[in-house]
Amino acid sequence: MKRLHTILLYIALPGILISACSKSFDINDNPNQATTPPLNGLLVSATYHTAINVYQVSNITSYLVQYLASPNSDGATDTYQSTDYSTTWKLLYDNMTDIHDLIDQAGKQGAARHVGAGEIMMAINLEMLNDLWGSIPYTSAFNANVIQPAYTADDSIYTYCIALLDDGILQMKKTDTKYELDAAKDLLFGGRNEAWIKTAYVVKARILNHLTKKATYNAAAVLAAVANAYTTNADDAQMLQFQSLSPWNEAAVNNINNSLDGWLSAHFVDAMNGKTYGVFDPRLPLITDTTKFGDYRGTVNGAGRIGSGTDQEECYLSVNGFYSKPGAPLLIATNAECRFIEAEAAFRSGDKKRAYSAYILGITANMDKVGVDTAKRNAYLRNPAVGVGEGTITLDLILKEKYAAQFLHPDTWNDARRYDYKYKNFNLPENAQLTTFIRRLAYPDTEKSRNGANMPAVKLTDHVWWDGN
Amino acid sequence: MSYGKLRVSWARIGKDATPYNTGSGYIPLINGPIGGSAIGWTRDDRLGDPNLKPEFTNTFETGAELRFLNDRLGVDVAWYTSKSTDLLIPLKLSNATGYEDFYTNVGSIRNKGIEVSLNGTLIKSKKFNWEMRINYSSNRNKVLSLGQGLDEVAVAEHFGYAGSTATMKYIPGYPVGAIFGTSYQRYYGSDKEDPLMIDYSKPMIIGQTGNSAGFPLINSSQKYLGNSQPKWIGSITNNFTYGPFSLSVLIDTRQGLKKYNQLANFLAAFGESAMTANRFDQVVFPGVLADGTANTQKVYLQQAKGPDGRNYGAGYYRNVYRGVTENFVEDASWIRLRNVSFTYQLPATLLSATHLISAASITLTGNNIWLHTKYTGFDPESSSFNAGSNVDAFAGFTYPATRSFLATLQVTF
Repeated sequence: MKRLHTILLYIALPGILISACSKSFDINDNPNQATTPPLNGLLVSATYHTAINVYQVSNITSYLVQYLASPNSDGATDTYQSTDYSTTWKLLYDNMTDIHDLIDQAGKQGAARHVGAGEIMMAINLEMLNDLWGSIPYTSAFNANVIQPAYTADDSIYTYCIALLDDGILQMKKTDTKYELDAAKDLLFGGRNEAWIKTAYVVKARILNHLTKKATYNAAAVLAAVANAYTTNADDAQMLQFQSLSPWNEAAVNNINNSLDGWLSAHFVDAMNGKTYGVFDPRLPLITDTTKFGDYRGTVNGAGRIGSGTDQEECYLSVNGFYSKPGAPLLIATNAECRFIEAEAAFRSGDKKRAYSAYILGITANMDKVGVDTAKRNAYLRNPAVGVGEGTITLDLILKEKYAAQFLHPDTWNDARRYDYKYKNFNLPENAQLTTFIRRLAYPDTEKSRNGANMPAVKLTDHVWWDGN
Repeated sequence: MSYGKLRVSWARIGKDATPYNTGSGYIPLINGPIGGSAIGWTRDDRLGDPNLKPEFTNTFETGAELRFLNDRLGVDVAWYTSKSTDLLIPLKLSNATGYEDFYTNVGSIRNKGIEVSLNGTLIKSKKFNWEMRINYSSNRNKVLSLGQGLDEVAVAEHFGYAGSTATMKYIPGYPVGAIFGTSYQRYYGSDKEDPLMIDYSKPMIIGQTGNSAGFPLINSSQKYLGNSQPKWIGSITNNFTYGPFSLSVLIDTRQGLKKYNQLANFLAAFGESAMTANRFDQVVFPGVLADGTANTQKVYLQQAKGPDGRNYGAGYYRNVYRGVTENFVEDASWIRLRNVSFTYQLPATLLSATHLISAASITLTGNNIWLHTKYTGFDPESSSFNAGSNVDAFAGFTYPATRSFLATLQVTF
């Protein structure tokens, strides 16, 4: 009898298993994918890559604003070659796609905070794309049904950014969200809604500040945004967790291992070591190390290295430096940037007193952030070339100090173009491919190949829409 | 005539999609967790098509097989036309879609061509035989339509410096192997310039200002530069036997095709190409200025400051030459001695003494012994993409087919 039961069981078993299988699996479902993404999984990816993309863009713009220089002569980016930045383009769009899906999913689930954070991050990425390339696919992007997306007019992108930021702020303030941000999944702010709101205002101020060459520029609107933005360094948007090394640390580590990277430009070093402005900037020793000659020397953009490249004949990002130490914070938006935006807007609206005070606060904020000794910081601020007093503050001084405080930040290229590259002793790179300063990037080869009919024809000397002519 | 056959056939063959391409989804970040714990999710790069259908090819073929003189001479002729519909292709997508490629059914293509095969026993005697086989085939294909409201789609691309990436695109009216890329700007005067086809008889436009003064200008939009599909393919096999000796010789050829030579692009970019040996010369580029008048400006091809005091920066080969895909889409026709094989059959009388071995032969074989081509890369036949794919326009950084020699001893017990 027992034997019979066993036999019956074995006969019945496959039937049970088969029916179970057929309910759980569709033959067309990929077992290695999820069709609906976990909301917090998208949040992790979006917050992380928004920071990483600031690095990715900076790895282009830092060579254009001569923070960094290629160790090789005729570096493609250094010398304004028509370079293919398909990878950076893809990383920006990959992240914006995840953000798009985050906003979409969160909207369906009534997760207002996730919508808000998504919108604010979308604005940050969108603004970078617009500043690099001008017109870009946006309104018909991220959509599987449009495989050759049209380009959205260059001068309308900021309007979308501002709308995203405004709605992001609203979503962050809503009282009826189903979920709050999970502190462990929000890699930028650990779920602090206030920090997201302030960041939205910083980005808004940054965008409005780009319009100085346009008739629509409104200093009061910039200052209104600044009023709600960061007030202390503790507010800064920065990434502190990484998949492996902090990206600029990786550059410094590569350089130590003779895979040359993270070389400081002669223009930047000269601006900091007293050669250009007659005052030594105490931040320089916290960024790089002295050369074997005992002083600070940069590499001329386009000229490349002098010797073998491994003899400490030039300055590089140091593995002990603030921006490139192990786990170095990757800065997205800072208190110092806010103060310089405030200084410029106040200056342009004729309020020199506020402009000067913000200028001093901006230098102070960045020096404190980088870790400059208080006595050295105060000595720098008292230097007559820096502490000029509110009567003699100029736009040149504000932008010179912003250039130093925004080291490695991509927004400096926007400043440089608005300012027509008038930083003191800022020269065309050696072996420049253009006879004037570069004004935009060439569209990536992937777009030329895959979406060529929609891609506008541009030259690297064509100014982007907010950059006048 | 000793044998004759006429045949007509119609066939419909289906091709199935690879699995898991009917949808799209989300995957964890490939480089692992962030800060050791946070797992990020991202949209996958591959977009699938929920309405995916099998690809079908309808082929109509008619042919004849004839033999003459007691089968010593044979002819096989075939003519075919086929139409493939709903081609299964991973289309390259603008990354602005959020994807890298889209696995879907795309339009239709037509193939038509002829195949001719001749074989004959030219000499047949007691001791000496000579057999020859000649194969010839010629195929023409064309993209008929793309569907989905599309004018063109990118199928694959291969990087080139300074915007010279070469792209394989399907565009209705163009062959399946069409290669597109940047070209020299040409002066059309009052004639209309076709957006895709280049009129090579028109003169190049030479720059007048700045660093490009005196140098050819680049047209950075992508134009049609050639077809990676051969006009014809042929082979000749000869078999000679003389008593215990036999010799087989196979010669292969592919004619009338072009490929993008990425290696040449890289070599030109780094001054390693033989082409760049003239960089200490001064030249006047043949061409016209924007107003149609002849260019007379002499320029140096080298880098940095020239003898005329002008700073040439990175020099002609980096500034101009490497950025023009047209320079690297080369004639990739070839003829090769594919295989030679020589066999000696040991005499049976010798072997019978062993009472063990019933037959034995020694064969010496050589593969890829000789190649004739104008292609400047290693080997026009190798491909940067796997052999099974329809991407055959790129033979860049690949090793050439190996030349090998074998000695084989075959013993039968």
